[in-house]
Amino acid sequence: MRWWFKARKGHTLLPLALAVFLGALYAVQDTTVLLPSIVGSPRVALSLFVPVPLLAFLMAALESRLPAAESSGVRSLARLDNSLITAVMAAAVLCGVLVAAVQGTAAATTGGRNALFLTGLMLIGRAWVGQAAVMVPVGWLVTIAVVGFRGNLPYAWTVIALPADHVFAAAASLIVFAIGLVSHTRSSRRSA
Amino acid sequence: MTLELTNCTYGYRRWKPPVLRDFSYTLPEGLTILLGPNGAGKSTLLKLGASVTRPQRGRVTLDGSPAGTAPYRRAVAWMPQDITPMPTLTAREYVAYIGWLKGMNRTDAWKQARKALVRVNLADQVDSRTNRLSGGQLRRVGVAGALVHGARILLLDEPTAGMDPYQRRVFRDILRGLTEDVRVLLSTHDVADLAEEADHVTVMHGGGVIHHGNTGTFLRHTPPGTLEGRAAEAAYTELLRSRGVAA
Repeated sequence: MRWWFKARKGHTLLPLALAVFLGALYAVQDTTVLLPSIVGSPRVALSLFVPVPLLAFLMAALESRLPAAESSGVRSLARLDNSLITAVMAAAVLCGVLVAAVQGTAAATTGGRNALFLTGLMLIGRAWVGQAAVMVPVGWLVTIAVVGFRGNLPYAWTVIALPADHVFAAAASLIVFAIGLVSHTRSSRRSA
Repeated sequence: MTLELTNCTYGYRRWKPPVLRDFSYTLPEGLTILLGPNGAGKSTLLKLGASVTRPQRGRVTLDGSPAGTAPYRRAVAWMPQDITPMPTLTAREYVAYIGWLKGMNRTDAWKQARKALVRVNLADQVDSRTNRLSGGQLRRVGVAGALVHGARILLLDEPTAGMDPYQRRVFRDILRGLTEDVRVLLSTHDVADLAEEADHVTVMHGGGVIHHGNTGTFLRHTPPGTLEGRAAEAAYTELLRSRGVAA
């Protein structure tokens, strides 16, 4: 297991990823930016984009492997990989809660929730397009920026643009993340 | 142990013709050299044998045990063409990881990894990071990975590519040193280098076997007047030419 963790660069990439995530979440606070859009010019919270580097690091970790040995081996690594992903997401949610507590605003908690949702999307995409799936969450963000708002109000389907206390957004993030884990397990089995 | 492919059909894309169609093959005892032009289906055959891909039709078995099962995978080792260096792992960790993936416990994998690296003459590199190794050294790490768990079937995809003459000699010595009950299927383009070590030669083209037999039968294709030391190469070229492949 130790070699698997080192192969995934769990001891180098992931602490760095979480440090970047935490730092960015703390730095952006409640900052909003004006984005070009088809419908109006919505002010979008900058924290929406904070999970992107975390996802890129996570994808790099998952792709750091010995494809031949792992696909012809006896041990299934899908469960270990899923545990790693879940641990990183738990840490991301914790980072959000921590920053929210320090700053006294609930907005930062969306960082963790959004990381869950976007990771789920990325894992679903990875089952189809492999490493390129890191672009799926980016595509989602671009779509939201372009057509996800009515005036300054986000549509419910955007999920990640919804406020921190939105129950639907929290539930959707958990469901998409769970589907992502299942997709990841199934694609690991298929490639094995 | 008998590795058998029975009526296997496999294609990488549904809309493209399959690489192997209704392909049957039994790996004979000893060392078998697998030859053939690029795209002949050699690597696909090895991947099916390693159970990393499943045939769309047909069966792959090892003494009747279907491909993909734990006993099958423990008994078969596969070294692919491309060995991925891993900057975070030393050569020993790399080989031990492969052993662990093949079901060895950590202690055994760690011990056997060192032994396997010594066998491929990399005793002085056991603690080197794999991204610091040369291409030839990395291939030897790959060979060590195939040897670490004591597989009974070795499937080696161009293991000598990128090795210098000394490293090739080391590799030939390793093949010679394998016990008699280990069967090896070795895909290569270094015909001259390895044919003399082989017990059998299989030549593939267009997803089928165009020649299979012992080395003596293969060398009978050598045209008269061939220079000494070039017999295997000339036999291979002549065999392809006689099947209309070289044209």
